[in-house]
Formats: sequence, structure tokens, C-alpha cells
Amino acid sequence: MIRKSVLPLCAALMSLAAVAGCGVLGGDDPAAQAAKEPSAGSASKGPGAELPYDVKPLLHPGKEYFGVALDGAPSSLKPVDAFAKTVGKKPNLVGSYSSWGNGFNAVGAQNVFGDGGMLYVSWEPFKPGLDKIADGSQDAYIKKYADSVRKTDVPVAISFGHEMNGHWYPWGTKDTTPETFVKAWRHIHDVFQQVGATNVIWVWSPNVVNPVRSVKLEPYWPGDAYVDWVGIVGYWTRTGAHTFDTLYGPTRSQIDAFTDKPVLISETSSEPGERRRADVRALFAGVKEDKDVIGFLWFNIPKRADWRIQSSPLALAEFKRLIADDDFGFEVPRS
Amino acid sequence: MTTQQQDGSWSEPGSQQDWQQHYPPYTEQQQQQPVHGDQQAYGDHQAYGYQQPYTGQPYIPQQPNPAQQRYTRPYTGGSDAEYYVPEYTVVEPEPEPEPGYVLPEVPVSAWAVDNSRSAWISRGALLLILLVQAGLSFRLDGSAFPQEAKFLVSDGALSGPVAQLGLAGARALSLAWALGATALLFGATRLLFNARAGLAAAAMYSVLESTAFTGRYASLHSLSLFLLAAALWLLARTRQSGPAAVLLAAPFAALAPFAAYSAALYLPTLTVLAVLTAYRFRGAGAFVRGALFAVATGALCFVGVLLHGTPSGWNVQSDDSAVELLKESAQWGGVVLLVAVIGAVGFIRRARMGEMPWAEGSAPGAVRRSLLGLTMCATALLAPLYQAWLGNGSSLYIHVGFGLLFAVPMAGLGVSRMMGAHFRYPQIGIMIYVAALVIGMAQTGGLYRPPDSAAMVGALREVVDTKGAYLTDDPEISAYYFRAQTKPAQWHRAGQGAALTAEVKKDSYDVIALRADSVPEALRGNADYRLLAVLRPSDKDGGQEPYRIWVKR
Repeated sequence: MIRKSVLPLCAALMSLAAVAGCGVLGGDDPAAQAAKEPSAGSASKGPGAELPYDVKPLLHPGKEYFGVALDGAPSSLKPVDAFAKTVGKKPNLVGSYSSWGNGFNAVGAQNVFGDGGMLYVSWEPFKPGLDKIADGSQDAYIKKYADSVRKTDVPVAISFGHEMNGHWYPWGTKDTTPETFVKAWRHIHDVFQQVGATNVIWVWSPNVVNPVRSVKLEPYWPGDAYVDWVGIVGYWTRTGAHTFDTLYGPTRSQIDAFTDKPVLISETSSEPGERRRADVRALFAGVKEDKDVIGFLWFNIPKRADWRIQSSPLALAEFKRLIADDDFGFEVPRS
Repeated sequence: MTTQQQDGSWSEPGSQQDWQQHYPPYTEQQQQQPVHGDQQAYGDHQAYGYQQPYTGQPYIPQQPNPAQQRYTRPYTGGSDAEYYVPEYTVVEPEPEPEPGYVLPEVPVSAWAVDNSRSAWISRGALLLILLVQAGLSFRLDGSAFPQEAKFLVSDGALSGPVAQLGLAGARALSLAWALGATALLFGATRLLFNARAGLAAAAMYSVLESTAFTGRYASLHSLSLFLLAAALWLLARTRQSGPAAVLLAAPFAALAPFAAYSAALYLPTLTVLAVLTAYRFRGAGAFVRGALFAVATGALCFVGVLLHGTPSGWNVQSDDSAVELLKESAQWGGVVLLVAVIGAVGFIRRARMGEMPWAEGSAPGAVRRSLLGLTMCATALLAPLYQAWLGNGSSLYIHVGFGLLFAVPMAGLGVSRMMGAHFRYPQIGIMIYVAALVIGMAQTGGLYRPPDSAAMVGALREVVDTKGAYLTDDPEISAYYFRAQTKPAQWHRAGQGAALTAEVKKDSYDVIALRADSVPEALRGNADYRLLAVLRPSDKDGGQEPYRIWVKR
């Protein structure tokens, strides 16, 4: 009789003991681990390490970006290394061009990040027109692109439809209205947010207003929520402006009226000639002195003119001397 | 007790005392056997085969030798007799050799009889059932459910000590209670019917969706089920004792609703069972027993309410579809209830299966059998019907298990009956068990999907501090995981639609963490908040929405 009555108790006790044993094994709660993990940056694996790259520290860096656009980069880093050897410093921003319809250069982005820098993509919507992008009919492509960016999980600066205030590109003033441009921009941004590609720095990049004074920039501005950097495309030519203020000033005074986002000289170079050395000096001085300007991206590709710095020994020597300044270039944070 | 049980048990092929009394005694049986040869050889030495006792030489039966046969010469024609008369002598027949093997004494019934061997077999089978149940629970895993997280930061009289154990500890404790409940359920069913029905009941209950879920859920539901099972077992255990013995069950029954309010629905069932289980033995005393139980339980509940207030949440109305809730309940408990109804019908038609006709003994009458079957089966419907009436489907997948706890003894009897006398159709039992197992596993897998919050917690860890205000869809989860870094009051529940827009516009939250498939309108192109991360669940087919985290720019 006693045996019968203790049976349920006996079974309960046995199961308790079994559970106590198993409980130790089954005791790892991933979320609890995540809450306790030491702050990110340590090489620990675990849930904390899966967090997407946060670009916040890159938006207002303490030093100046030193960028360069080179033929063949970033799919290969050889041109970048060669350039670094030529000027004596490794660039931390590598420019590239991506036509609408092309896939995201994930390998290039990883190459550059692996080398301590960040990829800068000029996304050029030659076809099928900004209205098509704005109305959502290009969403499949945008999503695919965004997903590729998200999966790469390294910081990327994207400048969509640069020089939109000029008439020379199909997305420029000739064929597109500012409203359509803004709508397309916001739509792309929204899709990226939807997909979760938060590792993008959005660069709104007009041409300097000097050659197109009649085009006002503000209508092209998508809004502070949609843009991280203002990029300014402005080359130092033989006939154009020859001071930092006269070249970029008019554009910046327009922009200052509607935003205080950091400014990157997103495409620049100096035309070979008498003034080249002075131009280089003016550019470096302007970038360094202006607290709102966070760096420049040197276009080192021969196209219409020979924009390569190594084509002018004197200017190159000046470039080397000035870029040696510790304020230019830094390693992009690893996480 | 044994004599009482013989009289009073509702056991099917009764307890061993039943048949021992009715069956001709063993000695009688032996006497009826024809006696041949040396009686000694039948005893302990039968295993020696043809070996003769005491001779030490093998015995080989032989043909009679010529010396033993005396034949006359065959007829040659020289005789004067008219016909041939053979000469012969009648030889005494050899005593028959001992049989090589004699069937051992066959017990009148096999393992279903309550002898010690069958009891150990039952215990072994129960252990296997409990192991399966533990396995089914342990295969469920993940971070805390919001309700679990809420429970784990609570500090009630019952919940506080359990919450101290943390998520893994509380879940392990839940499993222990769940296994204990299954064991008690076996015990109660064995006392009410028999061990076979008890094992079938435990097997059916152990693979239920609600059982596996509750056993891996950090809450007091499992404790509540254990208390109800304990009360049920005590009712069965004290069914032959004086009415006052039922008071033992009252504290368990009274405590159950304070662990989980849904247990209150089953106190009337327990009261009815207090009467029905005792009726045969105490006559009108059974009603005294029921009244005692009801009064004691009621009084204890009243004291509990005075001390701790009414458990909240028991009557929250909502607008879930009643039909949908009943449909879901049918999916979760339908198989068991169906088998229980079959068991009840079988029980009403016939008190016993008749495996041992000589051991029938007395059995409850048809009215009592009907009432018992009806009570047990109907109890399974209480939670679904009540919640369908409220239109509130909250935790119904757990609450169905409470009612099924009472229907499962009948289901066990049903399985036992369908398998038939002497396990004639074991395949039916196996089929039902496998079906219940597969259905239970699939349903638990679908239901047990705690939010995959690890990545979200990892991301928030970087941005939370002791002062900030945070808006989130799962404030309980964040408050639990960040209980060391933040206070629960820092976490606010995010609204939907316009409410969310207003909250975002207030601009008073430092972080907004939402579970949303798309970016809410309020946060699209928001100049105050920056999207920090979109964190997808690691299980992409899980149907969970990603966490989206915004921080102040």
C-alpha cells in the first residue's frame, strides 16, 4: 500500500532530478547572453557581433577624408596601392561609378573596407528615368541592390544622381524636374530603410553652381532625414575659379540656407597647367580650415583632361607635402 | 485497505484480491489434475527431463527384449489342432515415462493485476512516458516570451521566488511541475480505473501541445496544473476514507487559482468528482464529502482573496472570433476529447471490459458511470467555451490543457477499451498515441515561437542607460533583459497607427524599437530619429517580423 501511494511522488522526484540535470544544459538564453556581452568591438562572437555596421561615427569624423577615384579600383586594390605609393599616403575613400541596372560591387566594398577605407559609389541613373524610379516600378532592382549592400555589412557612401543641377546628364535639369528628383531620392532611401541597409551614408552631390547659376539647389534637396552628407562636385580648371571660396563658396552659401549637414568635396581635381600647384594648395588649405568640410575625393582619371596628379611633378610634390599632414586620412573604424 | 479496495475499486480486471477470492484455490486445481507416475517427479525435479530421480542414469525407454516375449514357433502344418492358437503371455504395460516438460502454473491474469511485478512494469512505462514528455518540452527553445519576461520581473508571493531562478530556472521548474502532474494523473486514473488506463492517460496527456508548451513556459501555469492534478489524485486516493479525508485535497485545489486564474474553472469539476468518486462507498456520505470539499476550498480561496486580492485577467473581454477559438481548441484537444468520449461511452455501456469474468466484483451503476463520463468529458470544454464567450483567446493554447487534464482519464480508459481485452488490438492504442504525438509536436512547434530578441537586445545594449526613455513593442522583454541596466518604468509600450505617430512626434524617447515588417509612416523620413538597425530573426521561415531600431539623431 505504501509503495502504491508513493509511486506518483517517486516519479515526480525522479523527473525533478532529471530536469535539474537537463536544466543546466538547456540554460543558455541567447538574449540574456546578448544583454551581458561586453561592448561591441571585442572580437567575441555571439549575438552582439551580428549587429549591422553603424555609420554614425563616420558622419562627423575628427579628421579629413582623403579620397581618390582611380581606373580599375575598387575591384582591384592595385591602383589604390600604386596611388598611395605615389602620394605617400593611403586614401580612405575610394570612388567608383555604378550605372543604374548594375549590381552593387560588394567585393569592391569589402576590398576597400578591408584595406581601412570606405567605398564611395556614384550611382548614375542613365536609364530608365527618375520618374520610373519614383513610381516604384524599379523597386525589384532597388531592393536587390539594397539587400546586397545590407549583406555586405561594411560602410558605403552612395551618391545618387550626382550633378543633378547640371543639364549634361539624363537625370539633370533638361529632362527631369526637381520634384521628380526628390521623389526618386526619397523612394530609394525608403526602400533601403525598408530592407534594412543602414550601413549607407547618403551623399547629395550637386555640381558647383558656378556654371549653372540659374538653377536653384533647394528644390533638389530631399530633406535632412534623407541625406547624411552634402557632396560638392567642383573641378579646378584653367579658366574657372581659383580660390576655395570662389569655387565652392556660392554653392555652399545656397546650401547653408537649408541644411547644416557636413560637406564633402565629392569630386575634384585640378586641370594640368600653370596653376595646378596653387590649386592643390588652395584645396588642401580650404578643406583643412573649414570645420564643416570633412574631406575631398580626388578624381585621378584621365578623361577629357588628364586629371591624374602624377602628370604634373610640381603639383605632385605639393600634393605629397600637404597630404602628409596628419589631419588627412584615417582608418575607417572597424565596427 | 486491500480488502476495501477489493470491494470498492472500480478497477476493471480488479485487483489481485478480486480474483484470488473468486477463483478456485491453487491446491484445488492441483488436485483435479490426473495423477500419474511418480508424484515426486513433478516437483522441483521436472526440469531434469528424462532423468530418473535418484538413479543417476539416463532412462531410455526400450522395446521389450526377446526374453520378455514368448512366442510359439510359426505354424508348420504338423499340428493336430484345427486352428492355430498362438501361445502368449500378457505383459504388464510399462509405466508411462515422465513428461519432459510441464507447463508452469498460469496466473489467471497477466500484468494488469496489481502485483509487484506489474507495478514495476507500470512504473517503468510511466518513466518512459515522462522521458518523452521531457524531451518534447526540451526541444522547444528560445528567448523569453513577453509574458514570461513580465512574470520574471514580478514579485508576487508565488511568482517572486520562481522569478528569482531566471528564465532557464523557471522553465526547468515548470517542466518539473508538468512531469509531476503527469505522474499524479497516472496515479489518479489508476485508482479510479486501472493501471492500463492510467498509463494510456499519462501517455495521451504527455504528448499534448499544451503539456509540452506549459512545461517549457516560465509561468505558474504548470504549478497550477500540478496542484489540480494533486487535488484530483487526493480525491481518488481518499475515495474510500471518511468524508473528512477529502479535506486533504482542498488546499491544493484552493491554491491552484492563485497560481493561474484559469484553474478556478475546474473547482466545480473537482467538487462533482469528490461526490462521484466516493458515492459507491459512502452513500449519502459522498454528498457530505462533496460539501466538505466545496466549503473548505471556498473558504481557503476566500482567505486567499482577502490576503492577495482577486487574480487579475480572468474576465478580460476581447473581440476574438468565438468560432475561431473553438476551432483552435478542437485542433489542440480534439483527438484526446474524442478518445475520452469513446472511453466514456464504453464505460457507460459496460463498467468492465470482462477480461476476468470471475473477478467482476461490484461496479458503479450506470447512472454514476454516466455522470462520471459526462463530468470528465464536459470539463475539457470549459476553458474553450468560457474564452469563446469572452471573445478572448489569450493563452488558450495553455488553458485547454487544464480541462484536458480532467478528460484524459476517460481518454486513457478509451484507449484501453479500444485496445480490447488482453491487448487484442494494440495497434489501435499505438495509432492513437502516434497520432496524438505527431499532432502535438507539430502544434507546439507552430505555437512556441518566442520573439527572437537576442539581436535586438544586443543592439539596445549599446544605446540604453539608466536615464533614457524607450518606446518598444515588447517592453516586458527589454525590461527583463535589461533589469540590471534599466528600470522597468523606462520602457514604454508603443502604440499603433495614430497613437504611434503621436508618441514619435513627442520626441521624448531616446530609442524606438518596433517589431514591424515595414517602416511605420511616422518614422519614414523622420528628421529626429535615425534608423540604427533592422534585425531579422535568425529563423527566416518563422514568420516573425524584424525588429527595427531607431535612435535620436
